[in-house]
Amino acid sequence: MLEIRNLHARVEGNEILKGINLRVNPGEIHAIMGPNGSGKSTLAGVLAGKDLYEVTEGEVLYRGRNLLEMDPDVRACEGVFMAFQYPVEIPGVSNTYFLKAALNAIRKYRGENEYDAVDFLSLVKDKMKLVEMDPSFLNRPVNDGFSGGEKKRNEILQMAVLDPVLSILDETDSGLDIDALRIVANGVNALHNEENAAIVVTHYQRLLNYIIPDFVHVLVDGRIAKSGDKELAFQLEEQGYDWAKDLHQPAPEAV
Amino acid sequence: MKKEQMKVYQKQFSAFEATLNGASEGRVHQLRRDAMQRFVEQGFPAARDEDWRYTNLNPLTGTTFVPAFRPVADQSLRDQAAAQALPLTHAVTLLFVDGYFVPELSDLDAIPEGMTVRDLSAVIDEDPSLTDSVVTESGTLSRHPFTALNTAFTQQGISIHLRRGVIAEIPLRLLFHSTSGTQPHIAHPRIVVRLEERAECRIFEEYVADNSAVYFNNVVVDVHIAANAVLKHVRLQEESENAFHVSTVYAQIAQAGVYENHYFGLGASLLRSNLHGILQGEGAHCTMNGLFLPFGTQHMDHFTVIDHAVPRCTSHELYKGVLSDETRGVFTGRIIVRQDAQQTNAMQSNNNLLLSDTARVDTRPQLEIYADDVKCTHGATVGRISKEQLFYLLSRGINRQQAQNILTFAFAGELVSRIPDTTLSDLMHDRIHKRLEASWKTT
Ligand SMILES: Nc1ncnc2c1ncn2[C@@H]1O[C@H](COP(=O)(O)OP(=O)(O)OP(=O)(O)O)[C@@H](O)[C@H]1O
Ligand SMILES: [Mg+2]
Repeated sequence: MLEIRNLHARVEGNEILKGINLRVNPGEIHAIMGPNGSGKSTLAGVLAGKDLYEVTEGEVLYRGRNLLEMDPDVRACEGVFMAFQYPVEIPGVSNTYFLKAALNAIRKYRGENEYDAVDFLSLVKDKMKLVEMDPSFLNRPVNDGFSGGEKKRNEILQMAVLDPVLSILDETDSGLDIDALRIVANGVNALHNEENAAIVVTHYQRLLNYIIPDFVHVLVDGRIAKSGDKELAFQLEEQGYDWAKDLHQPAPEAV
Repeated sequence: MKKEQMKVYQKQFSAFEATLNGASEGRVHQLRRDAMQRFVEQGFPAARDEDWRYTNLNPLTGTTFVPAFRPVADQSLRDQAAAQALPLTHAVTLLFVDGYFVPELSDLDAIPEGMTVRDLSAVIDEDPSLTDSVVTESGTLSRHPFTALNTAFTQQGISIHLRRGVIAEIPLRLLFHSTSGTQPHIAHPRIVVRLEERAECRIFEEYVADNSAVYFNNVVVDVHIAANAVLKHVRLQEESENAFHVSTVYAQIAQAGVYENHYFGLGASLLRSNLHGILQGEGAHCTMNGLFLPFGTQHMDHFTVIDHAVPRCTSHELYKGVLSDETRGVFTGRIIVRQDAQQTNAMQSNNNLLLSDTARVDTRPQLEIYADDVKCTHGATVGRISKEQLFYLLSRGINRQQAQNILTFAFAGELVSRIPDTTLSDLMHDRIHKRLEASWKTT
């Protein structure tokens, strides 16, 4: 589904990604861990199409097509979804209006009928139950004044409504209390199936008790320093990233 | 001042006088003559005039306009106007074509009980004490030659009068339609609105035109609000993209009276809007809300004055501009608090959103405060669409155009939702959306 080959990217002249290789197949969940500043959000941003980043080398194939050539909205319509590490507040735009505009944009792109207000509302209310969000959030402006945890839940609500093929969750677990963590993880699990895939960026092994990854990758200084299964997360938790940093092995490719 | 231009206006005035026959002896005509003389003495505002420094009037003063022809009242005129206007069904509509009131095509039968709509000159001839209300430019507006010009050429103004204690539920719409002719034409609509004590109504003033018509609408609206009366005045300016529009609204508000002005500017190649609110009685309130969205090369200049003349009055002003392409916007917000006007509470803000690198806006708050016990706040901002917000919308599948429109509405929508009529508010919302969408198709 996703094939990243030797990806290099810069931010304002500084090279942040220094040759990423990663392959994600349908039905898989990949976890990416790594120290602050190692480039996890940069990788997520490059995949979502944020123009802040300049790709200098390498390629990304998504369902056989060049992802990097697509505009960000086209990527979303093609099924790529990134849950933001820092969801953006949009005062003056209600959550419902925003979600409906997004869903209908995607449906239109796929040649499907647009939802009317009634159908949309019943869909979104259904999905809100999944993330245990109060319907009152629908009328509030997007993320405006939401608590940190509420913002993260709102990201998962969007994911649930938009039903993406490839989800990239950038530290969706950070800032969540225990209950919210469970709710968000359950949401992600409920949406997961054999056709879609997820890349879950996290700092905490704890999340991986709820969302069981098929692979864990350690990103250090813009490269994948080590890949393994979920046991790798325990090792990291115990030994810290210095241990992974010292592994001078070439960036491995996930199988 | 260009002498030849003055000569053109003087010639037109003589020709106009000649058409009046006997009527040129009346009181109204003396007012016209005086006004014409004032106009000739002053000329059009010069570039060095501080109040006009951001607006180049050359395109206007350099165009020769002919007086608009009186339209022949034909149902098709009403249909043409309706085709351009907001599909508002719950209002009583008075139709004006090229500046002329057309009673035959207006809903005169539906005018609510307690409201009278009449020819202004007839009203003045009957009751000379009204003269003052018609020549307000001799007072505060003396620096407005456009008002003098309007008075000089006033052919048929309209007087709207609401009796004591009457609350008109149904809004009154003044629909101005300008047609395209072979030559650029000029019109001088004049409206006088008087609300007696405790009277309340809503007036919706709307300017529409045939596509690409070239003309100059020089409008003056005099508003008189007696004690405890309430006027909610919504204005939509959607002139043709080649039109010139100068409008002057002059509102005097008595004790505990309320005047709300909600302005929406979409049209005209050159716009100047003068809006004066004079708080003359204790406890009076004035609201000025405005939203302007110029496209292409439109120039829109808004000059507002709120004059706190007596104690304990409140004013609330919010103007927002959304500027794209190579447009130019100007906002001047003058707040005067006179020495007597203790315990004044005045709030003003002007926020602007630039959608292109070539658009420009000048904003000037001007506070003149002569009293000491006063609460007065003001603020002005000029910003752009946030890249983070834009990317957030894109990343959810919304295309760039729609995303920008959504964010523009997030900025501007507040003013639409403040319109004191939900149907009108919804229609305005759709109209502005359409306009935003159309602007993308041309670029
Ligand atoms: N706009 C920017 N300008 C300059 N440097 C930037 C910018 N954005 C990111 N960087 C730098 O790129 C590097 C990688 O940042 P990134 O956000 O990808 O890290 P991360 O792995 O997600 O870290 P964290 O775990 O703290 O979220 C950091 O050193 C950061 O300072
Ligand atoms: Mg990060």
